[in-house]
Amino acid sequence: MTDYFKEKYLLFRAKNKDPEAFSKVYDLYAEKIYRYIFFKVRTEEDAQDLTSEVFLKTWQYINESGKDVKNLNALFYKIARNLVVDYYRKLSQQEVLLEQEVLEKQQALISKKDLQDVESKIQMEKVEEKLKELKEEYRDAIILRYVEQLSIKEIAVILEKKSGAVRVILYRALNVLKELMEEKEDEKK
Amino acid sequence: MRKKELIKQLQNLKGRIKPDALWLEKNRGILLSQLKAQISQVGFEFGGGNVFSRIVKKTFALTYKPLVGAAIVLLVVFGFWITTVSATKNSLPGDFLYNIKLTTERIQVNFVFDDEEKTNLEIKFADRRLEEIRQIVSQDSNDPKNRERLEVPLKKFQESMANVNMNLAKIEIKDQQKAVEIASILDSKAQEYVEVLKEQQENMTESAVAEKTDNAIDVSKNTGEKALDLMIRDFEAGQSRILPDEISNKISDRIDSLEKEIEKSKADIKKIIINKVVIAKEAQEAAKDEKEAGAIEAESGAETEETEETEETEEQTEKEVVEDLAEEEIKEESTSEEPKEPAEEVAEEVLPSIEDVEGEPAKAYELLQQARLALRNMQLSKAFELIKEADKIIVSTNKVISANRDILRYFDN
Repeated sequence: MTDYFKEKYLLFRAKNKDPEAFSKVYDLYAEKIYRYIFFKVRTEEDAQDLTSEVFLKTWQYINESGKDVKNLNALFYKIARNLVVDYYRKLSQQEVLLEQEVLEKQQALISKKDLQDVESKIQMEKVEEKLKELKEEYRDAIILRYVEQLSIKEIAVILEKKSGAVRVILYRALNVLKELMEEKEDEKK
Repeated sequence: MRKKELIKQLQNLKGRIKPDALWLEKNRGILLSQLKAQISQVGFEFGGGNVFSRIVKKTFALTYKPLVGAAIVLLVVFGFWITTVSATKNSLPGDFLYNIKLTTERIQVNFVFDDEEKTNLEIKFADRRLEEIRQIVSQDSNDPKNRERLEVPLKKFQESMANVNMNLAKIEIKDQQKAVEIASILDSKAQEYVEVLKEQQENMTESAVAEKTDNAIDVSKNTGEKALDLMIRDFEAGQSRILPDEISNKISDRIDSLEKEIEKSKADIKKIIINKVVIAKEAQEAAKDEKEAGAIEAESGAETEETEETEETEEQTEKEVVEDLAEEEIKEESTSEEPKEPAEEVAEEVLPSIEDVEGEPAKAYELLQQARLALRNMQLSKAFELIKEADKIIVSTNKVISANRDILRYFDN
C-alpha cells in the first residue's frame, strides 16, 4: 500500500511538471518496462531506445492529455505496447530483416548472463525462445502475468479486455507454451 | 513438464532479463535533462510583449538555470554520452519531440570541448537537418504548413554551418595540419550539401521557401570555399601533407560541377525565352479571337451593351499581355511583397530581364576554362579565384532565372 501512495504522490508531482519526481517514477518502472519490451523486439539497443521513448511519451501523456491517470502501471505497459507496434510497423516499412542481428543478440546474451547453473540456463533460454514463438496476445498475457506478476485486473486494462477474457487467454497461452516446450524435448529424445 | 514448473521458469526470467545498469543510469540523466529542457521551452513559448508574459518568462529562465547546472553535473557523472537519444532521432519539425531533439543536440555540443569533435557533431546535425528538409519536402511541398515546418531546419542548418566555420578557424590557429584534414572533409561535405539543397529546391513551389533555401545553399558554399581556401593556402605554403593530386582533383571537381550548372542555366534561359514567346503568342491569339468574336457579335446584333463589354475585356487582356511581357519583375515584386521589405530589394536586384543574362553563362564558362588552364600550371589560388568569379556570375544569373520561375513552370502546368 505504501508503494501505491508513493506512486500517487509522484504522479501528482509529475503532473505539476516536476521532472525530478518523474525521474523517481523512472527508477520504479525502467527495469520492468525494459524487460517487457525486450521480450518483443530484436535487439538490446532497440529495447533501450523504446524504453526511453516510453518514458517521454508517458510524461507527455500525463502532462498534456488532461486525463486523470488512475493506474500508472497499466499506462506504462499500454504505451510500451503501442510503441512496440509502431516499431514493427516501421520495421516492415523499412524491410530490414536481419537474422544476423537476432543471432548476435542471443550470443551476446549467452556471454553476458553468467548463470551458475548451466542446465537451468539452457532451460530458461528455451523458455525465452519459445515465448517469442507465441502469438502477440498470448505472449503479452504470459509476460505480464508470470514474469511481471501483474494482477488479472491490471492486465485486462493494458490489453483492453475483460478480466474473464484475460483468464481464458492466459489458460490457452500457457497450454500452447507448454506444448512448445515439450515439442522440443521430444525432438531431443 | 508440468505447468507449475513452467510458471516457475517464467518467473525466473524476471531476474534474468535486466537492462544494462550503466545504460539505465545514463538514460535517467538524459531523460531528466530532456524533460527540463522541454519545460523551459514551454516557458519561453509564453512570448509576446506584455509585462505578465515577461515576468513568466523571467521566472522560467531563472528556475531553468540551476536545473541546467544539475543536468550538466548528472551528465558529466554518467560519462561521455556522445550517443544520441534515439527516441527523438526520427522526429520532424512540428512533432512533439522535435524541440527535445534540438535541445539534446545543443547539450551534446556543449559537452564536448574538443573543437574537432564539435565540428564532427555539427556536421552530423547538419546532415540531420537536411534529412528532415528532404522528408518534409517529399511529404507535400505545397502544403502551407510545410512551409513553416521547413523554416526551423533551414535556420538550424545554417547555424550548424556557421559553427563549423567558426570551429575550423579555431582549429587552424591551434593545429594547421588537423585543420587541413578537416577542411578536406568539409569541402566534399559542403559540395554534397549544396547538391542536396538544390535538388530539394527544385521541388519547392513557394518562392519564400526557395529563397530561404538559397541562403542555406550560400552558407554551404561559403563553408566549402573556406575549406578549400584553407587547403590551398596550406599547400602553397609548401609544407603541406596534402598531395598535389588530391587538391587539384578537388578544384577540378568544382569546375566540373560548375560547368554542369552552367549547362543547366543555359537550358533554363532558353526555356524561359521560348516560353515567353509562346505565352505572348497565345495571348495575342486569345485577344484576336475575342476581337473577332466581338466583331461578329457587333455585326450580328444590335446588342451594343454586350459588345462594349467584350471590347472592354479585350482591351484588358491586351493590356495584361503587355504587362506580363514587359514587367514580370513587377509581377514578381507584387507576389513576393508579403515577406516584408527585404524581398523588395531582392526584386529590384532581379530587375534585369532574362535577355540581359543570356550571355552570362558563356562568360562564366570562359572563366572556368581559364581556371582549368591555371590548374594545369598548378596556379591553385589563381584557379580558385577564377572559379569563385564564375560562381558569382552563375549565382546572379540563377537569381534572374528563379525570378522568372513562373514562366519556367509554364509548360509543366
